[in-house]
Amino acid sequence: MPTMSTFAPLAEQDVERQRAVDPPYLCDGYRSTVLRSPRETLIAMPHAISSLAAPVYGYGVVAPEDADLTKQCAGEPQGERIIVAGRVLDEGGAPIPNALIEVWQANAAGRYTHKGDQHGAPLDPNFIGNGRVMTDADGHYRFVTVKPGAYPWRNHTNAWRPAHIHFSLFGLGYLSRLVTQMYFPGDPLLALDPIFNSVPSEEGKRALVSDFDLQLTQPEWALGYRFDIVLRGAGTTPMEK
Amino acid sequence: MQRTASQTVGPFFLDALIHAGDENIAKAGTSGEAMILEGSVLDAEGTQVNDAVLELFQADTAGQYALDNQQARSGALFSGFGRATMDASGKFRFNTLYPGAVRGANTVQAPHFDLMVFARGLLKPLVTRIYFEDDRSNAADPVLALVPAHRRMTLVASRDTMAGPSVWRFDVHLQGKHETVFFDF
Repeated sequence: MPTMSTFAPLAEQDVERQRAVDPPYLCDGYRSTVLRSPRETLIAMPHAISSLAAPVYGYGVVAPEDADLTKQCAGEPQGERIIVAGRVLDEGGAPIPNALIEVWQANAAGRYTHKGDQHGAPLDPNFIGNGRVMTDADGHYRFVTVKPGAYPWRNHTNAWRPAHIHFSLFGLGYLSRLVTQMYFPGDPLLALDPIFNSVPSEEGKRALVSDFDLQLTQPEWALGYRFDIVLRGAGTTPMEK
Repeated sequence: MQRTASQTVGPFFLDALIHAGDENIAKAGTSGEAMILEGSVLDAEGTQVNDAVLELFQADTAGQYALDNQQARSGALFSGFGRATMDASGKFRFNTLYPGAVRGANTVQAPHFDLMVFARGLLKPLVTRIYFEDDRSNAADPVLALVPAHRRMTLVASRDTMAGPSVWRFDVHLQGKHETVFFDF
């Protein structure tokens, strides 16, 4: 683990690079950002914090069955069964082993198992929509679920979220923490979605869309979608340079 | 390779991210000064944000962090990490230990928590720190020193003696007159 020798502020170019990747806090098209985004300038955190090795997710063991969202109830859920798999890498391309991935999603009809979801689509008694999986030694993960449906939200008139799966990841340290959403290729709602389009670069948007993968697809059983995730790694902190 | 971009946690994370006991960073029987951190998250109009998830990272009583994921997940009495969302009254609560000062080669950081805030309407997390009112080491803390003096109080939890002898209160103001200091990290 790197140790701190100085308390230099975060390098300006690193801050700039972050801003180029992630959406801004205030995003005009996404209504909920208006009252929830800070207006003061953020202060560059000294690198010391990035030297934390990883006080992460401190409880529980991930069971293999947590990675199959189609087998958490008595019967099989409705919808198109899919396999989602990929790798978790750092910015240098190195795999991140033992990364905890938590996923959650709407059912095939576009309804979450959440009391706050008032969409008039049916709940599925055989689908909860939460899963967890750890990456293996080479950074690979894989889970089985059903393709989530699109659903309406009240951001603007006739607003619909494109089908997506929420991902939460813990990498090797504080800096690597990521919450994001995986989308599906060819979805006509992507072009209209202010959350997806809050990502500043085309490259960044493209990376949130999974690829249909015939290799991953299992004959007579499930379609495969590949989604690789790149986390900010220890290699990006000056202490490691 | 370019990092994968952040997206909002949205409003429907509840059962996926929050499990019973996630707010207990120190289990009963851990040695140290037990404390409770309570507070709310408020938007620009002072309205309670009830669908935020908070993640708190901290050093132990000796100022040490968990060394790796394995240790943090090992079920040890002290995890150094907790998660909480809001209860029916719009308050979050962590049960933990007063952290130790964190000693580096040339610096001593005052006892503090690192806090990450996720919510609908936040396209990426907000990161802040929580220090403790009247802790004498605050004066020499190198991170507080980077914050304009008039905004430092937004990073300081205060004792809530009405709520209990070891209860501290910290509200996160996402925007507005009392906006909390947030960090690029």
